[in-house]
Amino acid sequence: MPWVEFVNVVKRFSDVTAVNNVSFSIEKHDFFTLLGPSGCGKTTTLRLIAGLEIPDDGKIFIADQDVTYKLPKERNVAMVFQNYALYPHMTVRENISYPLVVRKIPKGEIEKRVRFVAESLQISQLLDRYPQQISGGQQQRVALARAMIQTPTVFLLDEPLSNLDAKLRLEARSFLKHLYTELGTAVVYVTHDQAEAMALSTKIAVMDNGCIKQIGSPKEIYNEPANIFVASFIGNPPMNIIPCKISDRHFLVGEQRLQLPIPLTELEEDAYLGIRPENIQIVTAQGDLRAQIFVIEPLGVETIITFNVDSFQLKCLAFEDDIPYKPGDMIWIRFRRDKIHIFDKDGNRIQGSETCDSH
Amino acid sequence: MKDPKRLSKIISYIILAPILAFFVAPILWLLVTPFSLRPSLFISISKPTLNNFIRVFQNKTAINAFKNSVIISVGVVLLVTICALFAAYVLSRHYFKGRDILLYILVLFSSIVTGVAAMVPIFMLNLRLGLIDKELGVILTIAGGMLPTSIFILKDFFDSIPRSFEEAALVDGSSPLQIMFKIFLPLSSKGIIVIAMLVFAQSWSNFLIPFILLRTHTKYPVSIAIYTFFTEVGVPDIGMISAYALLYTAPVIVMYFLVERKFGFSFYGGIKG
Repeated sequence: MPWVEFVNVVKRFSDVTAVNNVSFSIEKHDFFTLLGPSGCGKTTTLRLIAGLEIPDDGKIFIADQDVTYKLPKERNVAMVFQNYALYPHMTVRENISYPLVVRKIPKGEIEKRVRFVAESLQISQLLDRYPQQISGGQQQRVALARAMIQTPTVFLLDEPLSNLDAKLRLEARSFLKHLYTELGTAVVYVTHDQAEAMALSTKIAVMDNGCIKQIGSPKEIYNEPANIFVASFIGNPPMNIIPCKISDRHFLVGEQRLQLPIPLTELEEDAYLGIRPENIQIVTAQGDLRAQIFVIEPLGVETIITFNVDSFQLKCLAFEDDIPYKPGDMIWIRFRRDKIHIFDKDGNRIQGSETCDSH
Repeated sequence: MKDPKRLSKIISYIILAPILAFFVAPILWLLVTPFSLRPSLFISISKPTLNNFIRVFQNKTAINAFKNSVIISVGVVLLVTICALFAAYVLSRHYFKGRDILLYILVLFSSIVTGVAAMVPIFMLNLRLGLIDKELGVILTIAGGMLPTSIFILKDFFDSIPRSFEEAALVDGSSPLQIMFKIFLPLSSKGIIVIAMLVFAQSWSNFLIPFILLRTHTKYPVSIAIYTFFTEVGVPDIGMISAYALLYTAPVIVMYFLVERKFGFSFYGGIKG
């Protein structure tokens, strides 16, 4: 049995359907990420698990129990809020021990567990301060401590890194990943940052408009995106999507003809070709398409090169130290044959499209 | 050489001085006259004496009126604060059809029908309810008048407290009562104290309502009792009146400073990341 399960869950807010017929299941060892742009229903999904919202339709199970209409406190879940929601009138110690105090656990036991959790999160020296007196990163650890002390069935994290500055965010991300291995139970994580999702998760659900577009491991999501939405949401820079026409079993990109024999016969005339920036190479001999360099952005390890092909703009990632081109140069580009994705005109990926073999 | 900045400063001081004097003079009078041996309507400094205060404390009506004022004010504060707390909480945290209209009507009506215009209906209402010459009638009437504004201010204050605190407490396993007493009340204590202060000051100084509804002079609060200090020949006893007035204003001022000192007037805003 799955650890957390959603079965056809629907949640409406007056005339907006925030979560539209969503089903998924999470195993006990999963770090499950709900990924999507703002307003896609990912936070509502998390709040449905927590019991802060009651679904209009469908069922929710946690640890084999139907919790659809149960109160939050009957679900044994712990949640870290986006703003941490640390009680400002309580010290860090009181904040962390609050979940145990309201459950009427003996004082000695509380003291012992607070000390243990505080030590494992390295916040022992902050216990007598107030939340306003500590930094954002420390506040986040206190919020995590308040969640951990409950030994919940599921941890729910609502964009916990979004309030931290860039440097601290990377640090906190590594720390979270390390912490996850120690928690020993499922984590449900909400974010709009695809890099966080890729770095942390064992399973990602990409959401848009209240629907789940794809569920899979980070690798599957990256290498076999189910549709254009997922393909262009994941990756930095995201996948290049080129509208093209198919005729005579060849692609037409604008005026250019892409010599790309395709094994798929049932393709319609209009289609989209997807290729990740790192799978485009600049070649000196004749390649697939002729392009004009628009701008070159060196980032240290890699360089982003943007170029125009007819009316489209493509981005490519190059890892060489020296790029012997300048904006305006005409070049040939080549797509790595086994990394090409083909989407039909509705945006759905055509299975097996990555197997386009070369000539 | 004339400095135009300096000139404009001088002019503004010339304009401001009489205005300042206008406001300061009564306060100065209130502070000086009670300690004066020969009190008058002018601010005159003579040998200080506590005689006026001793006469007030020997006057049974005066002391009794203080007791009445405390009963009325505390009663109003408790009633208004508790009712406004519950009402504002619901109005702030739950949406129901017609909520905004209700709020609008509440504020609109409470500000239209007030003061002297409402006196006849208020008297009739109390008469029908048998509440004439009873403290309860005074308490209910003042409380009724203050509730709409209090609810409105408190609702606004509650709106500024992020919901995530209560939600966090809910997920942390609290019961609704625990959320109320351990999370919500401590977070909103400042707003509640501000309301309590406001209501206290208003009901403490209210003259019209007890004057209309109370008949027996032993039930009069200070605001009315102060009118009874006349000498045998009908001349107001300025010494007693001024001493009494100072005692009368003292609680409100002391309370204001206490609350200011203890809480400041800064509120918990959102939370910084």
